[in-house]
Order: sequence, then C-alpha cells, then structure tokens
Amino acid sequence: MQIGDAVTGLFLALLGLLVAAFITTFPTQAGFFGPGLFPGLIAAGLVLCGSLLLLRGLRAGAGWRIAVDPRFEPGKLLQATRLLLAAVLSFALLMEWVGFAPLSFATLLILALWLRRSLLFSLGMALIVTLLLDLLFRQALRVPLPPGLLEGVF
Amino acid sequence: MTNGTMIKAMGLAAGLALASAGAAMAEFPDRPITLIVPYPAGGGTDIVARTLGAELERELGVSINVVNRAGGGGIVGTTAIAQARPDGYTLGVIASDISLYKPQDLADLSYENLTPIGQTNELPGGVTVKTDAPYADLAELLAAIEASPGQLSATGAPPNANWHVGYVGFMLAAGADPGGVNWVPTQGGTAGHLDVAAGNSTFSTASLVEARALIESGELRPLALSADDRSAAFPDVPTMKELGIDWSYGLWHGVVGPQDLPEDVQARLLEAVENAANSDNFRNTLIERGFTHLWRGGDDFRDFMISDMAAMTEIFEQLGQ
Amino acid sequence: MWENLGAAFWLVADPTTLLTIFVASLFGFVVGALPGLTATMAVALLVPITFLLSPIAAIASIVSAAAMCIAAGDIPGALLRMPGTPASAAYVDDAHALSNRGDAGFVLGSSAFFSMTGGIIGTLVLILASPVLARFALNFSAFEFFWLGCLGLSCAVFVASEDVLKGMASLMIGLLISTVGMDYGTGYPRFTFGTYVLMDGVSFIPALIGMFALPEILRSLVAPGETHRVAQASMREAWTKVFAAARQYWHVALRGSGIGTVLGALPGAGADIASWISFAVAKRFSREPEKWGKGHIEGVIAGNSANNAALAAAWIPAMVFAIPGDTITAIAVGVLYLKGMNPGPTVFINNPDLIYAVFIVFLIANLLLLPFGILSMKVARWILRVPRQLLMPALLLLAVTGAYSIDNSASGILVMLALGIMAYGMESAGLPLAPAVLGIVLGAIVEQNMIMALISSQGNLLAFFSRPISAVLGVVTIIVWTVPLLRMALRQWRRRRAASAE
Repeated sequence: MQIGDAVTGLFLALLGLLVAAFITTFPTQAGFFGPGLFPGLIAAGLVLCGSLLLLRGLRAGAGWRIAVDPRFEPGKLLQATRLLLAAVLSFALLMEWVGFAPLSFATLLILALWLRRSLLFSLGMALIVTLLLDLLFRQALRVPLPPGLLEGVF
Repeated sequence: MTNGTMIKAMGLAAGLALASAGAAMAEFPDRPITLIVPYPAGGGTDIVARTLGAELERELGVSINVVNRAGGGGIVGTTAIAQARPDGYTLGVIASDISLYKPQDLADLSYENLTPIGQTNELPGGVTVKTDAPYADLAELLAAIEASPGQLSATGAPPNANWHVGYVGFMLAAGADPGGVNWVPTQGGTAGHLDVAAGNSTFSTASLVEARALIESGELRPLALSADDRSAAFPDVPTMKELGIDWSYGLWHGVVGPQDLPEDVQARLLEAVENAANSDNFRNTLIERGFTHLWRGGDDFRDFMISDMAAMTEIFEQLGQ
Repeated sequence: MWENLGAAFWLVADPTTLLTIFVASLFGFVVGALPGLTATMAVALLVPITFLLSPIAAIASIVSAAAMCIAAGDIPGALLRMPGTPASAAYVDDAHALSNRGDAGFVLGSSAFFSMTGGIIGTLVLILASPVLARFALNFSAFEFFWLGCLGLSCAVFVASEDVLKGMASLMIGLLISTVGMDYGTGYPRFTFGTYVLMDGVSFIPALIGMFALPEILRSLVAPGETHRVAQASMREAWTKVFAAARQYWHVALRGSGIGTVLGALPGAGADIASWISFAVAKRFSREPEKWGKGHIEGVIAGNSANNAALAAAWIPAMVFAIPGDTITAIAVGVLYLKGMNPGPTVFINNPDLIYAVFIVFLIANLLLLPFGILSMKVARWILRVPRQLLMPALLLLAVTGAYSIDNSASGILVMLALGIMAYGMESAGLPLAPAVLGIVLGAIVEQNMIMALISSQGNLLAFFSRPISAVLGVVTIIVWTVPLLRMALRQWRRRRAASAE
C-alpha cells in the first residue's frame, strides 16, 4: 500500500488529540507529574508532527492518495493478507484448545497449497516443520506449547 | 502420509491417550509437573522456583518444568495457577504480592483461590541510609522526618508494592505520617539502594540483602532490620522491635496449587516439597542469596497468608484515609 | 598478580570447564538463532545445571551462553528480517539488504568478528578498570539517566532516513507504545483496556517480531519476482570482505566498543541501548551516509561491537557492587553468591584467582564467537538454498512460536499481530520503523527516570541541572536537540529569502 502524507498527518494528529482526551480520565492526585504527564507530552508531539505532515502533504498535492503497491496483484495481496490474519488469529485464540501441533500442521499445509505446491510436498513439509518446531521449542527448550487435542499423545 | 497410515496414527494416538488416563489413577505423579512462576526469568521468585524444582525432581522422580508467566505484577501467572486443572500436575511458586491484590481491588485473587502447600523462605526489609548521612540511628532519622515534613525522600519499590507497603507499615508503627516523606518510585530494591547511594533519596526500605555489597564497600549504612529476629548476615543491625517499633515485614515465597487439590495428591506434595525445601542444596542457595530459610507447611502456610493479608488490608485502609 | 593468573589459568584449563564453555556456547547459539528466545531465557534455563558445576564452570556457562546468544541473534535478523534481540533491530535493514544481495556470509562473518572485538575490548576494560568505573557509575541517579535517555532519543534523528519529520512522527508512535501499562509514579494502568496482560507494558520481542517479520512475510508471499534464489558469495569471498571492512572501519568498531563499555557499565542502560546509540553515532559521523539502510556494513559493525562490549561491561557493577546491569547479570549475581564468590569490592582481594579465571573465561567465550560465526555462515547457506517464498510458511510459524514463548501466553501472539499491522501501515505511509523501535526501547527509561526525578525534587526543574554529571548531560542534550532545529530553520529562512529575491 501507499498512503499519502496528508492522510498520515491527519491520522497522527487525530491520534494525538484522542490520547490527549483520554488522559484527562487519568487520576491526578500526584500533582502535575501524574500518569498523564508523559503521554500528554507525546500527544503534543503527535499533534505537532501530524499537522506538519498534513501541511506538507497538502502543499505537495496528491497527499490524499491511498493506493495499492503497483508491484503486487491486488487480488493476491488481499488473499494473502486474509490468510495471514486468519492464521495468526487462530493461533492466538484457538491454540489452548486445539493445541500447537495440529494448528501448526494445518497452517503450514494450507499456506503451502496456496503457494501451489503439490499435495505430497505440502503434507511432508507441514509434518517436518511441525515436528522440528515441537522438538526444538517444546522438548529441548521446554517452552510449554499447549498440546490441546493431542494431550497425552506425546 | 497416506490415508491408511493417518488412521493408524490416530488409533495409536487414542490408545496412548487412554493409557495415560489409566495411569493417572495409579500413582501420583507419573508425568512431568509444571511449576508456574508469575514473574520473569532471573528474578528472585524464579531463582527460588528453579532451585526448588531441581530438588523436587529428585523427590518426586518426575521432571519439573519451570514456566515463567510474567505480567500484571504477578496477576497473570497467579491466575493461571488458580485456574489450572486441580490434579497436582500444575503448581506454582508465588510471592508476597498475593496479599496485595484484593486489598487494592487490583484483582479478585487471594490465598482463597489456591491450595497452600508450603512457604519456603522470607526476605526481611530494613532501613538503609548513605554512609555519610547525618543520622546515627533510626531514632535520629525519625526525628529528622518529624522536624522537616516533605523534605526527605524514601525509596525501594513502585508505589503500593512490597517495600512501599513495608515503608508505610514502618512509619505508622513508629507513629509518623507516611505522607511526610516523598516516596520515590523505583523498579526493584537494588534500584532503590542505588538511588540512595547516588545521593538522591534519603533512605531505602528494601531488603538489606540487596544492599549487601554496597554496605560492605562502605557506600550504604543499615539502621534497622524489619524482622522478628536479627539476621545472621548482619548480626550488628538491630531489629525495629528492639528499637521499640512494633513492625516486621518481608517478602516471602511459597509453593501453591489450584483450589481443590485431591487429599492424597496434597499429602504427597506436602511431603515432597517439605523435603526439597529442607534439603541442603536449597537451604544453602537461599542462605547464599541472603534469604531467611523457613518452612511453613499446609495449614500453617494458610494461616500465615490470612494474617499477612489482614495486615495489608489494614495498611491500605490507613493509606486511603 | 602473575601467580594468581597462573592459578587461574589452570582452573580454566580443566577439561570439564572447557567442555562446559563449548556446550554452553552451542546452546546459546541455538537459542539466540531462534526468534523469541532471549539470552536471559537461555541463562535462566542454565541455572539448575550450574548447581552441578564447579564455580568457574558455572560462571563460564553463563558467560559463554549469553555472549553467543546475543551474537547469534543476528542470524534471523540478517536472513529473515526477524531481529532476535532489540539490539540487532538497529541494523536489521542493512543486514537484511546485504544478505538479499548475496552477502549473507559477509554480514554474519562481520557480526561474529566485530562481536568478538567488542566483547574482548569490554572484557579488557572489565579486567583493568572495574573498581574505578563502578564507582563512577554509582553517581548516576534518576536525573542522569533521564538526560542519558533523552540523548538516546535524539539518535532517532540520525537513524531515520533523510526525512526528519517522519522520523520524529515515528519516534512519537514508539514512545506512545512504551507508555502502555502501569504508570511508574502511581501504579495506574494506562491504555490497558482492562486486561492484566498489558499491565507490564507491551513485550519487546513479540513487538519486534511483529513489526519486522510480519510485513516481510506478507510481501514475500505475494511478491511474484522473488521466488528465485540469490546466489551467495563463497565463504572465502565473505571473509575477504570481513577483513577489508575491519581495515576500513576499525575506528567504527573501536568507537562502538567504547560506547558499549560505558553504557554497559551503567546499571539500567544495557546492550540494546548501546547498540542503538552506537549505530546512530556511527551514521552521524559516517563518510558515506547515503549508503545506509540499503545494505551498508558500517551499521552492523557499530551495533555488534557495542552490544557485546556492553554485555561484558555489565559485569562491572555486578562484580563490584552486586548491582546487575541487565537481567543476565541479575541471574549471574545469584550464581556468584551461590558459588561463594560473593560480589563486592573484596572479591578482588578474597578470590583473586577465581576472578582472574572468570576473566579468562570471558576471553575464551568471546574468541569462540569466531568459529561459531563460521557455523552460522554454513547454516545461512543452507537456509538460503530454500526458495524464499517457500520459507515463508515456516517463518510464520517461527514468528508465532517466538511471540508465544516470551511469556508463554497467547497474548504475545496478539501483540505481534497488532504491531505487525501497525508496522505495515507505517511502511505504507513511508514512516521509518527504526525510530519507533528506539522509542519503545527508551521510552520506559526516559519516563521512569523523569517521574522519579520530578518526585524527588518536588517538581523543581532546576534540580535537573544541580548535580554535576546531570548538568553536563543536560546541556549536551539541549545542544544536540536545538542545533539541528535551528540549522533547519535557518536553511528554510535562507531558501525563502532567496526565493523572494528572485
């Protein structure tokens, strides 16, 4: 994606204002150096940088442009983004129940198939990488990757 | 992998799952135990857990995996212990922070959500000043605080955390106003001692142990220890009680499990943890680290946590006024 | 001294000690090469094993694992743009660009060689000047650290590419992220949206993985032209380039080691900050600043020499005052006590042969970085033989596992995702990532010390200049911040005057 300076500037300035509004809800019992002081300074910085960028973008023209990177096919980019989001979110939300190994296998398989590899190759790669990660992280370095559905199997 | 082998693998998996379920009924423990540490790797609690884990492995004959689940001042990891399946395969090493959550409404989490197995050690706080400070003893420091309210500063912990609570308790017990001294927040006891050594804060209430090398090198001077008895590492430092201030406070660590552990599992764990905690290796590690070794098993540990939380509740009520 | 050195030599020459050093180095190498697993974690995993070892072997295992771990953190950074440590995030773009060009061996060889240089210089200072430097470090309180943090933030101007305004905007975003979590003064939870998970702030490692690796994975998955492999230069060529770089940039390595040693000796600064500051200073004084960010070795040299020097120098306050400068030395101080080498000024008098043995171990551990560098080049060739696009699914899994491992919780994965999306947006808008990372790394230090200083001086701003070191640092900071701004304003004014004159 390519985002114009004016859009970026506007966004940052609004973010700064939002932060400034939000910190008014912070407690102030510790005098002026309470929890809101540092975020307040940053909010001011954001508004300043944002407005300058906005101005620069307006002056240069084409500052409002939002475009897809011409190097990529838009359809493919959208597909890949969705796949990536789905994969990461399923790990974050489902790993405790489904377990690391099944999710890892499924993710690798789907991605490899999406990259147009043969079924046999994809299955093999998914299995080998999953086993390697499990061996390294869970067994050798004792990271407690959740077993999920495979609890008690290995 | 073909479909046939896939089905075979799944059958094998199911068989293994059944086998392990059957074995769980036989003798506890028969598979690795997870020991959750609600703090990052390398901290005091982590060292206690890893030392104890090594001994416990020998006692129980299964491997012990120490797992750090840091975050939220210990709340994240302690919640994970409380919500674990109560089968004895997930335990945790907690610290005195457990008594601070409920009195401050930080989280609905206290000893009531856990099965106490045993307390292993304690780390008493103290009062430390810079060597060339004009206070010969604790009484002179208290007099100076009284004489110039708002001028002196104390340090050792983030606000409302361990050594700050110890500070508030000490001031109240000495009949002084905790608000009469600026509390400078630092991340951890060593950082607090460092702030005193740098000539910024007047005194620190963190443990003397964390200041040991600074005391030995003549940078800092201890005035008092907030414990019931004098410490072997600092035999010349008087306790606050000796000086007429009825206060003692320290960090502590202990092993706990989730609520409702089966009785037989609890009994087995109590025995194993007691042996591990009293082993030479664990004892020596603690003493070298400067912790006070101490053992309170099962119900004694529960009673101690009840009284500890009562004391904390009282302090926060006083602070709130 | 000489007889102690002799005794120390025989302590280290013990076969089990030598074997421990080797095995711990190998272990550190594996842990460091895996994103999400930190040097601290490697050292913590070693603690139960140190119980079984002799005092020297115990310390040796920690020293060698930590040194190797930090150096190996460059491997995923260079090959996959997934920095293994916040320190290697400083020069990750240069390292990655070089390896895309076929110079992965050159990057990894340089990383090993200059890590070794920095480590050895840091160790020499540790041997020769510990008591003096430690005493000096004791003068640093909240005021001094606040100014030091501000000075560090000014580096954002240099690490950002030409566009200073965008660099500043990016720095603000990073600083804003650093304010998430409990406030230092009151314990009030900020921007946590009611979850405990964010109370201790946004974790560094998942954030770094998200910011650098996720956008890269997305791009590589869809990039049509990048399926081919890049031919890598031979091992021999790579080493020729490393030594040529050593001849050309020896002053960069020396300066980096110096910065690393000083910052490492200050408790609370640490290797990450040292690497960033050294990188920024090197860029500021570079003779070819236009090459930076597109695959220039100078930044890799500056960062590596600084972070390994800092790693060794962090032992200065740890040995002399039992004050750990970072989490690794925090664990090490515990092991020192356990093994009866109680840290303190007296350790040099009570246990001289043990201390000298520890120093020899430091030297060996750092010298070992070189052979392990060759190993990392071998591993790199092997990984780079796989077509890039095909590496991406595995890389995604590695990212997820790494983000999970830091706190063993799924929240790390969510942090990674959120920061990944943010970084993608930033790159789309042309905002450089480096100043944001600098903001995340330094924000906590600046804020915490500012609040500490304000509370202890009761809001008196003059107190920021009333201590001698603090006054010097403060004046330097103000000059560093105002001079470029004034110069920029002057240039603008001149340009405008020239335009109106036409």
